[in-house]
Amino acid sequence: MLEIKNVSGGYDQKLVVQNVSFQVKKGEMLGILGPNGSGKSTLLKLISGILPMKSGEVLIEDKTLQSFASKELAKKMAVLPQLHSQAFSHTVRDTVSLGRYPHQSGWFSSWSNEDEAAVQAAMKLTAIQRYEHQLLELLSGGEQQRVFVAQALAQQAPILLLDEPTNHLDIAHQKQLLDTIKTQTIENEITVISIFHDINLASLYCDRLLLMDQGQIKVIGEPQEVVKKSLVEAVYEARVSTTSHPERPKPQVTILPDVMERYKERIITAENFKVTEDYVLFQAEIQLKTWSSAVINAGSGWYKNFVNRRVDASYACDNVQEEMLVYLANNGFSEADTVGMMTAVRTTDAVIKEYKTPFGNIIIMVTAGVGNAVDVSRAYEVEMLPAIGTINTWVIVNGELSDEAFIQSVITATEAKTKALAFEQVKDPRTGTIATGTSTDSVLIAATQKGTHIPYAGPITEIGKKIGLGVYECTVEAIQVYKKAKGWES
Amino acid sequence: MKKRWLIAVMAVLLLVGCGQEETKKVESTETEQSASENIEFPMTLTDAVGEEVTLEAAPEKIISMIPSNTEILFALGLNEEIIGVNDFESYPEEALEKEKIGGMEFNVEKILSLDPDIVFAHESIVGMAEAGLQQLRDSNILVYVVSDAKDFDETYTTIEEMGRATGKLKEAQKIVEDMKVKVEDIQQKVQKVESKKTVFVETSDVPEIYTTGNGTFMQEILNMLNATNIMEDQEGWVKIDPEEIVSRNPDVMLITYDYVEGIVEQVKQRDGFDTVTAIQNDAVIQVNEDTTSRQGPRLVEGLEEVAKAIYPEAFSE
Amino acid sequence: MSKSMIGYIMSISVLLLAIWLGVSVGSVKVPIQTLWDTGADAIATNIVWKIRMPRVVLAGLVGASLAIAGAAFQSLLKNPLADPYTLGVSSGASVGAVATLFFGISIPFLGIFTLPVFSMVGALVTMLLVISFAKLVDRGMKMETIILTGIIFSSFLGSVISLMIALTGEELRQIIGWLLGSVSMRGWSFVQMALPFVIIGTFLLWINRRELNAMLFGEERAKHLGVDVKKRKMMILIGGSMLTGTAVSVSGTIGFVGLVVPHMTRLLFGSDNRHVLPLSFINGASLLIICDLVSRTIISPTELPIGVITAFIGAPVFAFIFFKQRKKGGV
Repeated sequence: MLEIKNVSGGYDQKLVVQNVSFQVKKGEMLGILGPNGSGKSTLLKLISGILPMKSGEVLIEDKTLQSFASKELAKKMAVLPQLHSQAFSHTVRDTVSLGRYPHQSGWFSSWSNEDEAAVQAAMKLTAIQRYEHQLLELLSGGEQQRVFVAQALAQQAPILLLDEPTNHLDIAHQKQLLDTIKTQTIENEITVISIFHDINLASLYCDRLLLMDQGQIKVIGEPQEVVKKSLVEAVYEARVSTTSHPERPKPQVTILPDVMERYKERIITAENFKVTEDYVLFQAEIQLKTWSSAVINAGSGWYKNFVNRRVDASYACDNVQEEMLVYLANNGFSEADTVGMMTAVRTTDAVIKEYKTPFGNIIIMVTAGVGNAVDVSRAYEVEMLPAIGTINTWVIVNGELSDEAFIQSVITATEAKTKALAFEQVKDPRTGTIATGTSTDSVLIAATQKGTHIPYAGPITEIGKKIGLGVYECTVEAIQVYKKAKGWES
Repeated sequence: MKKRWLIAVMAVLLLVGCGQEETKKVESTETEQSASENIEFPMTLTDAVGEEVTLEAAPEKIISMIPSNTEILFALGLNEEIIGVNDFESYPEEALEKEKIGGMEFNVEKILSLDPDIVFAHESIVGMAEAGLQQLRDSNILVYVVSDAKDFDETYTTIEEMGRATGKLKEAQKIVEDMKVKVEDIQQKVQKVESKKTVFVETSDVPEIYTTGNGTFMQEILNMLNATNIMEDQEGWVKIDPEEIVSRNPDVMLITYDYVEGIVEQVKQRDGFDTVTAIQNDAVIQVNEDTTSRQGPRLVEGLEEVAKAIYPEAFSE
Repeated sequence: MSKSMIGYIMSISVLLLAIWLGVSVGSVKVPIQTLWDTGADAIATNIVWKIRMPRVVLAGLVGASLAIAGAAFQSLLKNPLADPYTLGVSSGASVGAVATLFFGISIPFLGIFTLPVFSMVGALVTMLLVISFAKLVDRGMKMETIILTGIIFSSFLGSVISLMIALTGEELRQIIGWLLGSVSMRGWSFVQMALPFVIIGTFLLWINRRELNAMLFGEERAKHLGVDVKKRKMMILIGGSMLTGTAVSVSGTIGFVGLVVPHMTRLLFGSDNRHVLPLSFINGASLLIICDLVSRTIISPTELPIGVITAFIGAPVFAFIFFKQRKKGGV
């Protein structure tokens, strides 16, 4: 569809873009990324023909750019530049109608039904129909941007060049606009080349990305080949971290600030725990990075309050989450920074212990109820009925855990728990074998992310050793307390 | 190239610039004194702007700042004494050979370098030239501002005043007498004319046709000649709507400028003017701008020229 | 009924009213039927047909030319304060005219047209110089370059005029009179001379009305929309300059019409050039006919310079637009 061959160009004698070559297929969406001054806009101007190129050629359907007359080119290629202020105000409709210019000819050219349909469709796609008769200047920047997108769409060109189309738009409109454009590429096979400032948006919507660096292509390829920590950091000269998108297999980047924020240098100790008849509460003064399988705010996140709530053995509720949130709110805990778990065990029986490590202490809290113990290896044999009986394990670390360390902590803690169950000879009542846990166990790893960096937390590391020991000791003790409370022993 | 536009342009500029403020009539303190009075220096005169000017002796080096003054001074026989004149002199020939002190804006340094005994300025330029005149006074140069005459009588007074200031009172009185005799003669001739004619005076060409209304010298002349200025309801110099000329239909059209070549023919060919009596009767006549506007001895010539233009029959014998 | 339709009906009504008033009202009262009543008073007929009518028509043509040229230049230059004089074309026309008077040039074959013809030549030469100079400076001929070049030429030519005035003697009055601007006493011959240029210039602008709309969004945008910017810009510059040159050559410099009329038209009827151009044309004609009428009747039979009236109306409107634009953060 579009082929760029060894294109170089720029302003005056300076070549801003050097020797750029790539191809775009019909219906493909290509995102151009790059730091400021890397030549993104210049490249787009060279492709659109606004800027004459010094060398190379641009081929549209195998014909050179220069071989097209102005109007013919506009029929092939619509361009959405960055927004500029206007000296005079047009209505939205008049502005969008200008997109039909290349389709009209002659001195007295009239407005055809086709023109009208294209304009209406474009306004509908960009959701600006209700502004049709308003003046452009009275609209917000985002609305104006959509009007110009509509103008470009009304051109009905098979190629669409965009220069930061989501500028001025809030996230709802960013999404709406990019959804619209992406849909155009899928349904009408429109070819799109778009400059993006936002790497994440580009990664999310584009089929391929082109990363510009100092006027040249650094890399071109699918998002996962381009949005790499090493590449992005090298080109943008900024510290970033890549993560995955929750819904799509598209990498996302996050900036890592280099600002030293002023925070209170507080070590977490067992003092941070408070135990009442109703709950075990751990409160930190700063947010801790947390990994958990809690009821409220499971997964990873940053939280300050950790609540292990005691519920009655007969607790039954259709919407556990909602009920739990109400409970937390009533007790003054905001959903935003609270992790909530439940247990049927008496909270006063919680075992909380602090362990010294060379880098900082770790604190472990366990509440254990083993009335519903399960041998996971034999679990498939029996139909499981929901029953109360949970081991909740919390590991709070003074230190900076890597992602691996978080996962290894979970593994280590789980293994230690299982070992504790074995030691206490807790059996799965249905199979009579040694249980590995209960049916609804929860684990929580929280770290201050300050102080020593801890890359790994397996059994051979200092922290792994302490987690293993601590969780084992605490769980054993908790089970013993439980057994005593239930009158199973002595 | 004749340079005679000074007064007209200044009048127009004054008119446009300051509205039609009538120049204050300044009574000369000396005019009523008898002609036989001895002229004795030193004497003190009060000029048109109320400045007292004391002359120790008859001036020997005189500068004239505008052409009408120059004409009077030459008529008084001060050919030798005049050492500086305006850039736009046209009469007499001899005036053209004198040192020039500038046109609308005069050169103060030049005047100072000529070291005159007296400088004759004019009331009509005071508005524009006040600062320069003050510079001259501050440099101990005598400045005498001649009053701006509105009619013949005032012109006679002006001539006598200047005669007094230069020790040529007798000569001045002689000039005035001669003028009066000639005026009498012309007036008698035109009195004989039976039908009074209507006249349009044009002082500039299309598209900006200017005319002279009430309070101008031309009005005075027309009054003396028993002719009616069709624009006498207007004050001073005005830009006139051409329709009005056609509508008021003058018997005679006087063209007082000569900066357009073949102007008389052009006027006759003007669109829509063909119904005008003056054009049908071929009564479009160019007259000398200077003699009909300069407040000097040649006014009589101007009067006669206009009289002949309007009532040629009265002068036919 | 659409806004533009209302615009046309209103503007044409006002024009007809202006023509009617222009013809029938004057320092001399002439009933309109004098135009066709063969038995009417000869003087009245003469005044209406030979003095007043050509004057009204010429005022209309000049006003229309300046206004449509102003509308086009404002859109083309994306500058609401641009007017036909921005490009220095009027200064060129003035130099041509003043030089004719200064050197006393008179070409027998041209007769009274010597001055307007020289003036037109001055306008065209200036326009070509401005465009080629702008092109020399910047091959892309960006609007800023053109405006700056226009200003440079304007200032230079303005000083040439001042120089000629300073050196002049007798012709001063003629030059000043001409520079003040007037549509008085030009007759039908001037109308005949101006008409073809007015038609060609207007046509050149009108066929570019949609391109002007696109160019309002900037040259790049216009190019993206498929406008052959270079060619169209040239057509508009030539058309606008032709109109300005014609207007200046037959009537001298009459300010504000080209600035004010397009703005009033936009304020009233929107800024779509498909309508702004023709409506400015009509309204420009009306405005100048009315201004001329006022100038010759307000203190009749004395005439005021027409520039005084256009400036009197134009300056406050200009100030208002400027104020509004500034508040918007435009300009």
